[in-house]
Amino acid sequence: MEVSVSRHPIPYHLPIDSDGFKHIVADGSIAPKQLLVFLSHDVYDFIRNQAREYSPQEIGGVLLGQYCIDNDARFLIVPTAVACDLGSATPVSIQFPPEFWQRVEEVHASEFPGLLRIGPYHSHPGYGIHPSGTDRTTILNAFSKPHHISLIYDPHSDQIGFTCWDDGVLQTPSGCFIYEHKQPEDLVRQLMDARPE
Amino acid sequence: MAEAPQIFVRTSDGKQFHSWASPTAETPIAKLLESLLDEYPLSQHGPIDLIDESSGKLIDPEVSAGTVANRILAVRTRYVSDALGQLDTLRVQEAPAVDYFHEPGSSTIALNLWYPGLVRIDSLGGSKLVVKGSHRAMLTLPKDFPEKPPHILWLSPIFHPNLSADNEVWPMRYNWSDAPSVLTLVTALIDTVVGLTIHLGRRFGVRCHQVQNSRASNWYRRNRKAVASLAKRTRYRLDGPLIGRPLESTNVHWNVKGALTGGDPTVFLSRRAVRGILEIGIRNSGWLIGKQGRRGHAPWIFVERIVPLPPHCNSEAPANAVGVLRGGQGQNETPPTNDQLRPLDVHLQDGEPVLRFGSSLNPLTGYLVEVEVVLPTNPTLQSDGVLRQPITVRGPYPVQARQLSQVHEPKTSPEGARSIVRLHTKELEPPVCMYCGNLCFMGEEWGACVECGFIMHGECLHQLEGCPNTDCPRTALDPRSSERLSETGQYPFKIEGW
Repeated sequence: MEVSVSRHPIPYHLPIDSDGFKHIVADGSIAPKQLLVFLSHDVYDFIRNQAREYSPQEIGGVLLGQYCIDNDARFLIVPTAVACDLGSATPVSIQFPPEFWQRVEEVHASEFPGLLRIGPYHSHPGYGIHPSGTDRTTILNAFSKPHHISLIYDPHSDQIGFTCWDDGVLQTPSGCFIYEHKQPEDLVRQLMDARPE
Repeated sequence: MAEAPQIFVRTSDGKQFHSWASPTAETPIAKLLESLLDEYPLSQHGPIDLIDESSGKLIDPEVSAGTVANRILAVRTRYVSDALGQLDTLRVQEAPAVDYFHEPGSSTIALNLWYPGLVRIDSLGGSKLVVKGSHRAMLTLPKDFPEKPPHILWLSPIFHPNLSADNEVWPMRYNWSDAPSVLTLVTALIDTVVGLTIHLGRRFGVRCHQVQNSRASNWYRRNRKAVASLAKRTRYRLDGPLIGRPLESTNVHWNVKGALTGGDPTVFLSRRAVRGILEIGIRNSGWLIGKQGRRGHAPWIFVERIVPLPPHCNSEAPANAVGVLRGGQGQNETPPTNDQLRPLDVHLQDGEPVLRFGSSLNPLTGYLVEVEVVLPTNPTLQSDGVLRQPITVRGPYPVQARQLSQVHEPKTSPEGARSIVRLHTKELEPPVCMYCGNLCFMGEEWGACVECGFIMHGECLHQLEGCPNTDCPRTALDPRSSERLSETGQYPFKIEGW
């Protein structure tokens, strides 16, 4: 079982105000007054390609990123992800086995120390971006901190959306910002250094 | 069964005929109008109308083909439908302060305007000037419209140098040949009503034909500053309070049009601003009304709505203007006031808005637009079940008033209890708001001025920011009333409720 730790957001410029970020688009409508998610274009493309390739099976993985704050705006920058290619998947479910979590731990510790496990992503081939009952239970048990999200992609409708928590209430799915960065390696380094373990 | 009629339609240039075989006699003429769209594309001609050549009357699109069989119809472009389309645009931008009613097949349009204008009330105790927020006028489109301008008949009482009840009126400084558009004509009329553009005539000169009420002219001459101050406060006001950047402070959903570049100014367009830019920008210029701010070094601008700018308008920029829309003929002209206070410059290119900020020649790569959100069917996923809009509806405007009237319509009383019910109804008759003229119903917030006792709705007070009685120390004509209200956030009224 994933052990979640509550984190404080680190001060960082909101990407739309920061010079290094370019070509910021939105997939879906951005919900008001809640966590904003800035997904790297690489991660976004990876999830979409993976979901289309394995459709009708579900696919999934874990997002790694940083939990930030700029004045009163809380947001996540997600520059990377670890895909789950272990375990079993069906058109209506996917299981993340313990070996996968072990692998996430290794990748996280060796390559991206300082980033946070933001939450899982998975696909819903043909049944929308709303979390299912199982998803809600999983999110409630393992990813219920303010910086946690659950990202869902439907390859049939080509829609992406994430759900997050606000005052203990699971919010309706919101769209994400998708960004490109002028120096992506520098960005990842900055984000890792911003939260020394 | 009636035979399917054949209908002949003369083209707009009068040189040719279209023939249309109606499927049945009952088929509405709207179907004929649809089929004419290929010949008269909406983007090129605007909505079209059909006229009965023999009588010159407008054909109601809902009448059946059978009723106009054996008659020759003529296509009219830029006529009533086009004028109604322009009024729709204005209604959306000025909502809820502009409304109209049009009887299909007629070329007259009843216009309702909810802006502050003065009315003189004569009573035994003397006469009193009161700020009224409800006015009516009638537009009549002549046969040769838009070559000839509409006739405007002012219907409601008003104390104004250039307007008077039951008389034909015309907005000040408006030349129809410069802008043959109902949109800007009504905008100019609103500016005249509120006193932004008035003609007072010469003090001791020969009476000018434009001055319809010399007494009002004298009064306006003495109180010009106060009237202008009230006009600016109410004409260009923002509907919704905006505390910070809309992304963090409003309850609306946003989407990105184009692609944002980090560090660039962030522009937020409300849904009605987008609609206004597209619909007004093809004809006219306008003010972008909204708010601007800065987060760190990054500026942001929110555009709430567009106020059309009558041609050759030399009035100063409104305080809430954050930029200009350069539309119609003015696209290549220098914007009226593209200065640091109003840094946003918008124009249409290939039907799409192009936004520039400040002195930059390069357009912004992207901007955020308000998204209409459909409530999810699963109620458990909705945090509070309320679809929030950035724009709050103010005042008991016509729709609300109609709904309230329906709710409060007295029910038929049971037999034998008629007199008691009548007495009961009489006792509970709601008072009339001195500003909007509608009743103050149960459950609404309303009250009486602590100084003069004038009754008005809380929402009307919020809109007017003072008492409608011009003799009252808290009169809306005194800007200090507005300042007191914004400082304390409290009504200077005793709120009664019902």
